Amino acid sequence: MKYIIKKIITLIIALLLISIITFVAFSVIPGDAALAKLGTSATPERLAELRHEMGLDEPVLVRYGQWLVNALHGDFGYSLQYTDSTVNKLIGMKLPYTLILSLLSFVMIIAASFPLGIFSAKKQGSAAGTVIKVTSQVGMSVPAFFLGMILTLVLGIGLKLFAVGLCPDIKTDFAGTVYYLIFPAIAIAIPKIAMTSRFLRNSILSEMNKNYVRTAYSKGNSDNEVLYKHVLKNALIPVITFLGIIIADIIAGSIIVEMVFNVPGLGRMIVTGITNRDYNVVQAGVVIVAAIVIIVNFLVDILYKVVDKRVQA
Amino acid sequence: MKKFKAIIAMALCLIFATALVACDGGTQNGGSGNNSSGNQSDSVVFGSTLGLESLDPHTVQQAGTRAILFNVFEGLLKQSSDGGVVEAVAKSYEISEDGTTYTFVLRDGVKFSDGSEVTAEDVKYSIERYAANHSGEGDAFSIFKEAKITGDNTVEIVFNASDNELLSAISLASIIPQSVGDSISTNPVGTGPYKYVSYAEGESLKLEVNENYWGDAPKIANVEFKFLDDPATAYQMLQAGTINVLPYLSADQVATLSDAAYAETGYMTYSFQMFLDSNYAPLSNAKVRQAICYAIDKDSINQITSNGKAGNIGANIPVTMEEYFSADAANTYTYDVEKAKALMAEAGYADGFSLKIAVPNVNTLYTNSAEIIVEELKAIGIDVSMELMETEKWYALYCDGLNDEYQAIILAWDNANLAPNAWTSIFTSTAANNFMHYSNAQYDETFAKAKAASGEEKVKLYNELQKIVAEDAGSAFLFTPADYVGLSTGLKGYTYYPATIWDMSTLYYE
Repeated sequence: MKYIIKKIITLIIALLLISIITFVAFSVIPGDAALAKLGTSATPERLAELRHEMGLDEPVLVRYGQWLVNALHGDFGYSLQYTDSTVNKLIGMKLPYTLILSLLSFVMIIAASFPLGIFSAKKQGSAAGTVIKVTSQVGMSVPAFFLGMILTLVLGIGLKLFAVGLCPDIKTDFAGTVYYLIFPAIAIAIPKIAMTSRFLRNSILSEMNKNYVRTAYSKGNSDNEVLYKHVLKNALIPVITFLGIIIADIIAGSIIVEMVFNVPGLGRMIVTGITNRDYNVVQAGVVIVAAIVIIVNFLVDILYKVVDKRVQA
Repeated sequence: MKKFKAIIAMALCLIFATALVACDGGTQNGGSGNNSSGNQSDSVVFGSTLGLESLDPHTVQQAGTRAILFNVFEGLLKQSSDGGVVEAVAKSYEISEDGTTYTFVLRDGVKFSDGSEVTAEDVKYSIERYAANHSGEGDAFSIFKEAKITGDNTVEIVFNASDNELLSAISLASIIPQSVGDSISTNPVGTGPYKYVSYAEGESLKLEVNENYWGDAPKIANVEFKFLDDPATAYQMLQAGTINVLPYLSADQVATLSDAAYAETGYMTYSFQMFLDSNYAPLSNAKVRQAICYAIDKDSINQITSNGKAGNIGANIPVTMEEYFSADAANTYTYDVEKAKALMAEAGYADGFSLKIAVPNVNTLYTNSAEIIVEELKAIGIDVSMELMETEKWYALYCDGLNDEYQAIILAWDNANLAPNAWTSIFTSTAANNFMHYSNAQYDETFAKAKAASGEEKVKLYNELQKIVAEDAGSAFLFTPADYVGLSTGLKGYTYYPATIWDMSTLYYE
């Protein structure tokens, strides 16, 4: 219990810091929402008027205070760009896409990297092992957005497996949305699969050198029995921590990949928000993404404790 | 026990695999179904890299939003593709002798898309609401006095002063139903050829034919504007046929188009210039500015950036404003390095001076042009450098004015208002947005005269005005950029307007 309370306090402090950093970043970068909106039709009077309307003429501290009070009530205010919608509505529209996309890529990573990691550990030194090692090195080095463009070109334009850039509406065609999101999920997953399988392989190999393995062999266990009954249990513990980090990466990766595949998710909302200097939207988006990452890591910590009883609260 | 575990593992794998396959099978139809709906002969998907700020036509600030809402809303008048205005909700109009009162006779039987008839009250309400949102200094409607109903179907708009260029401004005041009022942004009802179906912020706006439209019915029944942030993705979508119209292609993109699409070529109504800060000592000398104009090879920039399809200009009015554009001014300077060097020497800058150009990181048109200019100006001894910057910083520069750090800026000047004064007023010494601090008494005087004149006289005076600013090299005037619009093969009828307008009503499939 104490552990959970401690974690919750860390969560709150982290979110506060993140919101402050975003706010400061927004007041340092040139331009603001009024300027972004008026573009070439800006005149000093119209700018001043619009800034007043948007509340941009208040001092930064006052603005942050107002934002914080409202945010604590669950109200992220109005979008400065889409003047008729609340940020809450925008997030409600976009969050499901990002969640499904992240979940899909996470499932792919687990489903592919575990067998691959175990296989390459078993075949270490053989030709197959080398092939996997080299492939995973390549997979790790290719950025997700580039993979996204290649996938669009080959699977979308070439093989016509999906309608390029047209993500179906989640409310009217849920299955279609999931199908469409498989492709950006692949783009996000491939580099992570390479990393995770490599990590698992190394973890298994380093466990293999330990004394208990020798004992297990001397008791007459076969290779597979040693691997699955003894080694894997221990080898998976660092991998769980690693997966916690990977989840943060998946969500960060989805921001770029959503742009490439034109997915109406949170990531694209944040990027557009930055272009429009729509800090209400960006602030809320960043805080939510951060909260997801922190909560997931929190769950990983708990899982870690369940798997490894030695970890103390 | 071991066997039991193995069985469970096996079962789980099977379930997972089946689920994946089922998922694929079930949705593949959905995916391809989407594909074909994009190619239906009665629907068009338009890819816009510019966002939609609001559906309220009276508060629009951005060109992209205005361009889209043109399909849903109309004013008493509307802009035509030749740069003038034509009657829309009004069937005729008269202007009083003193030029302050405009009397409009409403067209009979014009209905809003919800089926209700347009009344004089709606018109009065709309004009007043538009005026209230456009009362700022420098806005054409800042001299608005009142709107009066003078008969069943006549409305008078009265201004405090006369201004020959009000018709263009009146065409921007969309007519909306008084009964809808301020909820127009969530219930956009207009008299345009299309009517609103649905809108998802940052994603798409769906429209369908307005069966109550007074004019010719459009051939395309369903139009969807898709909002895209990444130009590279948008281009791929055009190639894949998932969008059918995509404006603002680059010359490179046009060259690599597949069979699925082709490009139309027109002009963007911009006057693309390198503005020079007259507050900077060397640039306050007209000879130096002229030297810069002689040193820049406009033709080669045009060839490299636009395959020669950009329009050659020599002054502030773009080629698309055919009536007022001065072709003579466009040929004031021909590329001549020796002459440029001589002028630099005459001005006392034979050894050059330092110059920093602000360049927005918008697209290759800006960056390529700037790179060529930098090399060409180095050739006449100017110690020139450029800084690629984010658009926000660049906006701020022309909003707050050029300063000690940046003495020049590459900028495509644009305007929704097609009145010639909207293009020329920034060069007057008293203009609030004269961000390059240009000042020329003769220009100011001629501008005042031109603004007040009408008819032939007005055209003549604006031509003279362009000659003055060209000869004085008020700015390094470069070109009117080419506007490449990508269209799906078979889709025809795209119409270019001088202002940024995306008219879907003229499109059809062949």
